[in-house]
Amino acid sequence: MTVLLNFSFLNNPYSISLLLQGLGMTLVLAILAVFLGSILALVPALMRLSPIKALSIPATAYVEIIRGTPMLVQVLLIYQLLNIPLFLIGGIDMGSFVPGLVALVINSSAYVSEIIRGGILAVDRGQTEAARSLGLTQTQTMQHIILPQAIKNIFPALGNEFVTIIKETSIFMYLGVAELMYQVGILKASSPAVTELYITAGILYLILTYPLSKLMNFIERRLRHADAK
Amino acid sequence: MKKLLLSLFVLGFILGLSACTSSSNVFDFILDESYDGFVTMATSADYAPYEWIVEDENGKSTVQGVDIEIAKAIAHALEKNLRVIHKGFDFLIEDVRSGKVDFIIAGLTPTPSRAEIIDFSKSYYTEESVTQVVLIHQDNVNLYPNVDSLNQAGKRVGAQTGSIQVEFAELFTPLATHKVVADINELMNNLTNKQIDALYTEGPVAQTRINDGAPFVQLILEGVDSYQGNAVGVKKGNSELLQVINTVIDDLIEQGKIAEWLELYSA
Repeated sequence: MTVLLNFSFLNNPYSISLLLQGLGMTLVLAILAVFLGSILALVPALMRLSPIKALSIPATAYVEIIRGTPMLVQVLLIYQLLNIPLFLIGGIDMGSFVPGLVALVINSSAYVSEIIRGGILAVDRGQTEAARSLGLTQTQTMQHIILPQAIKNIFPALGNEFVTIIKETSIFMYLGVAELMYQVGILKASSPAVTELYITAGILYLILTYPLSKLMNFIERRLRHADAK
Repeated sequence: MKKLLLSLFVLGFILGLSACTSSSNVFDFILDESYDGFVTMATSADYAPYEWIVEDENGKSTVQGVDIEIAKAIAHALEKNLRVIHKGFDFLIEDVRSGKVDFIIAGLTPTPSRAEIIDFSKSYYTEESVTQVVLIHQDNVNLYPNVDSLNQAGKRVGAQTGSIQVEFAELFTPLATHKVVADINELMNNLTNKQIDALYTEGPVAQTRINDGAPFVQLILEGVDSYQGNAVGVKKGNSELLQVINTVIDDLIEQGKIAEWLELYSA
């Protein structure tokens, strides 16, 4: 097979605008998913930490089911279960966008809840004991002593989750959500430069994910810096 | 460093906003200002000359093709504007069954199993207008002089998931390995790279590709008379809409419009 790459489609403003729009949509999906997913994740995380079995068992089951099944299955199942009629917001078909986003949020919440749980558990037990012996209630201990320290553990891992979610959004091309791979699909239909398109898509994903991991490293360093003092 | 990161985030949000305003899988066609509301059609717009996405004169994406013209004619008959939704081929039947869309036109062939889920109009592509072909790479013309020569173990033939061509592949080349993939463009790309030896498809689809400069040669598939052609799918029991669609199809065939559009979009 001869490999003669031809990136001439990059001279076409139409191709560029399609790809950038797709990139934007990918970013919007990932930001919404991680943000909403992190909020939702607090519920199973705290439930799993609870000593009450009736709370911890369902939360464990939720996390195990979501983590143990492929994203594609989750997306298709939720698309099937959430039968949302076609309506448009800002020209986007919510009948595809909403089930897609819900699936992504649920998926993200399971992973983030484990990150949060791990972060809380990693805080030294002595901290709780000291706080309690100083007369703080359990809630106050969690709020003022444990969580601020846990966030330091949680933050870098959350960045990795964000990077993962950015990559996972490529599944939505099947639902017709106009993210990056969907736009690549459109361009592929009218361009013989398929290899080049895939390479471009890969680079565009990298442009999103690389600065993100750098940012997370930076924030992590800053947090450690405060620690050293 | 901070400023750089901040500007990256701002850039991301601007990109996101632009995505929200202009990029979508929904294409609206205002056929007449006086029409009230939309009739919605689902399709899988990766199938030139029937339906595919192109750049319009304003630099925006739009969908065009023979099926879209037929849909416009149906919308005119209903006195509504047309809204086209582009999705994966395997989602279409489910979408019309659940009532998300009013009808589907996507080169869909009526089969008994599909007819249990949705209702079909009469065929709009008849034998005279559509041939079935097997595409091969032009370098292999001497290797595969006819369809029979592909029917041996070790040969790889492609067809699109859920299409009638899968049945043809089983019928004509049972000994070959079948590569059945949802994305027809992926298969075209495979054939260009010689990752498959042949590809079952429809004549107009093949011709459009060849006219675009693809290095393919067509072998005509003979003896597919029982082939039903393609039809419009509607929700089961929606006989009112089906009747309108059938009338439109009759008119279009009688006026020779479909053959005309096929020629126009294959060029």
